[in-house]
Amino acid sequence: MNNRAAKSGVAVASGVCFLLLGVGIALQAQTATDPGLRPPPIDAGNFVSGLTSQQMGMLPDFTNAFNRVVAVPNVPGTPNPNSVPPVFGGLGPVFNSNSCVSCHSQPAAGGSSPGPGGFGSTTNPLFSVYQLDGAVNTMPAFITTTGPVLVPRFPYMSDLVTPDGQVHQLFTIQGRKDASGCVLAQPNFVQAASQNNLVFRQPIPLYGDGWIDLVQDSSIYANMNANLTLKQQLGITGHPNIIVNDGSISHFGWKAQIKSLKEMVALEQQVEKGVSNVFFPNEQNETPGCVLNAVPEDGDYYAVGQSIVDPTRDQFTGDAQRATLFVRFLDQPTPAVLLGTTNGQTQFNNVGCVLCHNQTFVTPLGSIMNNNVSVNLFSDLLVHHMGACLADNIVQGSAQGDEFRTAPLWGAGQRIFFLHDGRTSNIVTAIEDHFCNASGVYGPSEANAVITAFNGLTPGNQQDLISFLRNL
Amino acid sequence: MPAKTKTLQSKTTRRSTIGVVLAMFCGAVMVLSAAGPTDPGVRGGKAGAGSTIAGMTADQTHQFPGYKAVFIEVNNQATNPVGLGPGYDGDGCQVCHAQPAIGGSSPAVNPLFSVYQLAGAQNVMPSFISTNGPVVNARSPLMPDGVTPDGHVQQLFTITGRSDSPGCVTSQPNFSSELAENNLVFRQTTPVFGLGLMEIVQNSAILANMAANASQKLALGISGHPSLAADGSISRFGWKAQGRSLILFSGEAYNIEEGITNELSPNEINQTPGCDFNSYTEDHTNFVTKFAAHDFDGDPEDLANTMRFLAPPAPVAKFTASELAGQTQFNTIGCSLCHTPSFTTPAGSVTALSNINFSPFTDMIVHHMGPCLADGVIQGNVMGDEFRTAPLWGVGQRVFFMHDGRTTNIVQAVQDHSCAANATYQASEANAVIAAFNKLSEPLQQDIINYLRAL
Repeated sequence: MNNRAAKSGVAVASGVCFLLLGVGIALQAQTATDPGLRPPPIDAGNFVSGLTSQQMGMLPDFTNAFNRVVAVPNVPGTPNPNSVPPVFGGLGPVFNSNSCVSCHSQPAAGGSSPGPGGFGSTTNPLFSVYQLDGAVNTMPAFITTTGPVLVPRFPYMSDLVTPDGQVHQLFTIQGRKDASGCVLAQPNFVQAASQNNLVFRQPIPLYGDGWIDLVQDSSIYANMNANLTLKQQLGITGHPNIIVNDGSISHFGWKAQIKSLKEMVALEQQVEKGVSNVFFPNEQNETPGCVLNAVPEDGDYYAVGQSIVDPTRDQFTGDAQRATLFVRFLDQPTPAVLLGTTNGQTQFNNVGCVLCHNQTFVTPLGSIMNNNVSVNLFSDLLVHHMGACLADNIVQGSAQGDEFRTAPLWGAGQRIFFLHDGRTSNIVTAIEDHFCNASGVYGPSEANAVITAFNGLTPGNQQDLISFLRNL
Repeated sequence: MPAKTKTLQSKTTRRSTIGVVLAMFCGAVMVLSAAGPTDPGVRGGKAGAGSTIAGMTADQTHQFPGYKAVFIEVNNQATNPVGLGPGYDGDGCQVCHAQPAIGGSSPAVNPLFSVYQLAGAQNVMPSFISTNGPVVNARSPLMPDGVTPDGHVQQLFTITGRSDSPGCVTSQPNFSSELAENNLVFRQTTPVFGLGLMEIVQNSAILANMAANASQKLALGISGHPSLAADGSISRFGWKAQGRSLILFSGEAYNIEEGITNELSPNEINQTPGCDFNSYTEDHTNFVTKFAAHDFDGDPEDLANTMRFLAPPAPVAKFTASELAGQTQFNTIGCSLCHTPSFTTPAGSVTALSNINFSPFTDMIVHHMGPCLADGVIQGNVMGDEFRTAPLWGVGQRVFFMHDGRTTNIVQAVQDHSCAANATYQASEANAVIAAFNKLSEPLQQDIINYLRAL
């Protein structure tokens, strides 16, 4: 099938999917409703227990790295001429935002996209970023004040055949008073949209990622191989996204495309803010006149015992490593109910949600983390075919265009937007969106039988299941 | 199944096998090479590599021994420095990165023989590792089903039997079976000198070089493309350009080659119960140390900084007339179209690496090399017959050549670039250039060889 036909196939399938959804929503009107965001107390944002005094002492520094708002110039902030300073700049030339916390803020620092009804900012944070300091960006149509923070990708190159899949950042530093001389247009999102070549991903909450980092491949495989008969009956398969070089399982991102927490934070520092670092050392856009700093902007700090913040503290690593440590020590969200005690969870288990949204993995012995912690993430850390309705046509590693990692559900009760592209704020719709028939390009969603089972529940049981999710 | 090269046979047999293969694909070549140039061998004298790069700050100079100490340390399973195994290829970086100095490539005498049964380990030496052969690691291109792509490194050895690993019972991979299935390929150690410069070369510089001399490349059948990293930038380290940066490369290699889990590679590759003695991750951020900056972020950072500050290999102090003539021919026949003689770094936040013109002799992109070299391993957007143009700096003092170290003869290495298409893979992009080499007079061919051995 050629690409154009493939795309129209997707479009037709999407149409079918929307029709089905209409049915689903009609059902939902009579049955379950989303109670919406669970009100405070806030269920996440605390650090893990058992930290050493040294670790505790460094937490403010790690937090600063996560919260720091970066501008373009890498301003030397130290009297020592031999020192590469900790990065305080490095924004752009292309970027999506200017700090980690701006998009990872619901219900607290480290979380997901803020939005209406949220506990911090209730409006899209990108509107306070895009024209900051004189930048001349226009806001793409798909970013709205009440919508989620989204990162755009083009599945295909401009020939609409060659796979692309990269993030095409929303904004550039053109016009900023600290970026004089840089002339750099934003990507042509209007054209990409008209070519059906524009897809989105929203921020993933980071709580508990330090635990996910340590989940053993053997545990993931053991869980994958459990309940095989039942999974087979329901059409559920799933597989790990494998790193070719060492054969290990990649854990992070919407397609489980990133192996370690550290690489993920470094990658996001580069992709979202445009801050080059020792992991990804060059600017992503090297338009002459726009590369205004030496690279990498966030480098190692070679001075011994020299710190502009605290001369008694080691300042060796850059912000990427320090922000990693902030995330590593963020504990998992706390549910509002005791797990295993509610009818909603019983229904969640009975209809088969739990076959992919696996409740618990146990971590191994930890060298800087606690031992044998039960991580209640509600994910199997595998990728599954979700059909054409959710497909973004991007291949990453062994994850195909319609495959996504089972999204961890911990903290779902205080999330505003659901699914990889934040297409809905209604958690009932999010469930129904797991259903999708086969198209010309992709097979049916692996979740179809489970969603059908959900729709077959009594209204009371459906509502209990929804309440359970909103209590996570 | 792509064609595979095996080092199972004895060296003599292997040579004759290669001879037959080459005779089939490029018979004329072998006739010429019989009477053609000869490899003067590994250049003697002072090692052209191993020192630190000029222009380091006092702090960096002060720190470097700390970085290098991690590069040269011998790791154990249970005692400091901790973390070896359960599976591993070597127990220290310098074991294999040794020629002509620490940080280099595989030494002439295979160091794995002093590693494999250390501390009571009960390993059997795989047949493809020989005392005079290169250090190689092993990969199976396909899963046992013979269809599903694999390609990950299967570590040569295990800690079973080591006195510091009581109770661990895990077996080495069944290499003889994989060999019998024609499902085992090899990669040898790449030298790490000068990589701090390669690391920060701008993507735009690599793309500009790729686009240069387009008509000449087209005429010669040379294309090539970048290996893309997670951020869309150009990945540039490793035989398939699969590593984007020194720290990412270090973290992965530390676990693959020595079995040391770290914050970039948090899982043991071999997860046999009873063999994971240590907490995760074995190497980790060290919060205790103050002022010993090189200890804070874990070993991959130290290893990256070792590589970052090791100077590029230096060629001979002065080229002879023959070597100069060889340089001209190297450029004229088109070797330099892929083995790009020089790049310049951009403004770098490490001053010693900033705005430096250097000579890696690689374009840092990957090319189709045909079925004769293909290893059938797909990594990212790099296909089974594609390899990164190997940097030729320091090649004068290397012992083994090509990704699997199949030859110690640099003339043979040149010829091994030539390969006709088969049903699976297209012809080598180097064919026209190798044909041009073979059309040169023997003295001019010898000049090129002499030039290479002067690098």
